[in-house]
Amino acid sequence: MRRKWLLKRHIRELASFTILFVLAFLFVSPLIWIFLTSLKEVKEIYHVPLMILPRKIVLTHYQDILTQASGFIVYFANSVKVTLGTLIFVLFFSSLSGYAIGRRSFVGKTIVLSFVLLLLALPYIIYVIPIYIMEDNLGLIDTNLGLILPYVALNLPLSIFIMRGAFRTLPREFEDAARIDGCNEFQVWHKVLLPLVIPSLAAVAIITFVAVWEEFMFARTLMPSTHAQTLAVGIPTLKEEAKSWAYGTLSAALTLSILPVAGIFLVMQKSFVKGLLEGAIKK
Amino acid sequence: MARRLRVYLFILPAVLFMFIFLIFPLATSFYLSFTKYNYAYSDHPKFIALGNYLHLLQDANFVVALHNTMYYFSIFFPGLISLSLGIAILLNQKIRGTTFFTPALLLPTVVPLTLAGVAFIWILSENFGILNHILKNVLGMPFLTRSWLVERETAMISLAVVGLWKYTGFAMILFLAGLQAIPKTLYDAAKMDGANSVQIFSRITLPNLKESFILVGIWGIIQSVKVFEQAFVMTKGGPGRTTLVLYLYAWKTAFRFFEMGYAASIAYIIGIIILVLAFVNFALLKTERM
Repeated sequence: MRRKWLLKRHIRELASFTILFVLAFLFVSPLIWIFLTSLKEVKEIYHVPLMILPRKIVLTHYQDILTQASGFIVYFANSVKVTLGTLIFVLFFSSLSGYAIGRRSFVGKTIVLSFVLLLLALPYIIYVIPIYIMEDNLGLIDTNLGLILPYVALNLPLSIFIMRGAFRTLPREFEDAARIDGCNEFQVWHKVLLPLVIPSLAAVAIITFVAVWEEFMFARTLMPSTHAQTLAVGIPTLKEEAKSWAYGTLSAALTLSILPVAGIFLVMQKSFVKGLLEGAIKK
Repeated sequence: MARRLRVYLFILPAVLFMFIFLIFPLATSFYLSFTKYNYAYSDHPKFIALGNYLHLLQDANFVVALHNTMYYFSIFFPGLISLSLGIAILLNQKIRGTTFFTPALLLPTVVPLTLAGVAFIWILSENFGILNHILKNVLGMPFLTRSWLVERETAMISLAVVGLWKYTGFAMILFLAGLQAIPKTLYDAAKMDGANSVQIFSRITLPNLKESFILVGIWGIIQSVKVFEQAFVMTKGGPGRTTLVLYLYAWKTAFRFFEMGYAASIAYIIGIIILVLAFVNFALLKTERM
């Protein structure tokens, strides 16, 4: 009886394992395929019938995009600048206001909080139209700053929410002790409380990083010229406009563009999931 | 007193940014939606009251875009719920070696959707795409091969599949969190009473997942209303107008035809749909938690 039960359980576990294995493979397979393509010679890429594994591994596509006067390096540099620029402001501002909203009471707090909630829900398309007109008048179109400024604002509501939650759960004693020791408001925030919310700061950092690295609509609208575009815009545009970008070079460019986010995700998986969950539940 | 005021210094930078780049644009968009304003030709927005909103009802493109968005939803949504719930349940059995699968399933979440779009154009391409190759040469079903993004019947389905590839991981995480929150004692008690696995699933698992269903459900609808990148990169709204979705129509109206006023009214329609959904989400969760 028990053996039969165990056998049944084993079969069930094996079935579950197999289904999960197949699904997990299907989810990563597009990325594997792009990586494999990036290593093949051109004649192999366009060979009929297709060969799945490269017969000969070549790095020429990577050399091409890294040395030629292709847009890739420019896009990559723009993505890095815009992402890091946004990240610094978002981390600083959200941890400041998260502290105030999470731990202090002040007149207008409910209004600030309800606006944060409202802004969190609205779609970007509403904001992009007036921001385009505004930046066109200010000469910010096609500048890195012109993208960083709205990105900071767009990523603040969720970040403030996450940071508010983090500050709210800290026990009062730390703060009181620091105050008795003569710390002022700013010192309490940065010397005593900030080190305690580092896990949430990490969550904010990775969520913002991913969001900015992949943002398309603002980047496509506010950066019409090639020299200012980020990866998420530049590579699809190249694919569309210059047919000369064959799939060998394109795959190499895709691989290198996805690598930074994929790497950070694998290292900071826990923080990423934490950020996703907190964002989803509070939204 | 000074200490009282100092707290405002903490929120000032964030409030300033959100005011200039979110709240002010929000108000401007609202005003623009009642004006005729071609950014290429007109000097100033011209107030036309409800003109734009009334025009929407007779605009064939808008009606098509609305219909296409609902069609996308009808493929994406059932797929999202069943896939993410199914995977979450399998993962929650905690079979040895399966935790390793979670990062693989979540990885697409961080891959920029437009770059994934370029990759999928390559995968779905008619002559050199690996999907057709597998269908024809590996599975031996050449009759299933087609030009996925060019044919009317499969273009939108392809976009929805890319959406599922990107978003299933996130929904799965929400379901997984819901499953892990169900007290184990409930299952033990049910087993003691001799319940079979179907009964356990329908009487214990499903009812206790109500909150996750609300979260994933509303999020999935909002994600469908906002579908944009795949259509922009992979099909440009085509073939014909088959993948012209609401978001793409609003964007094109604003930045291809520079009809800022009209585009703002479409954007506001999208915004209102999403706000209503977010509010339903909020209200449902609130009653759920009471």
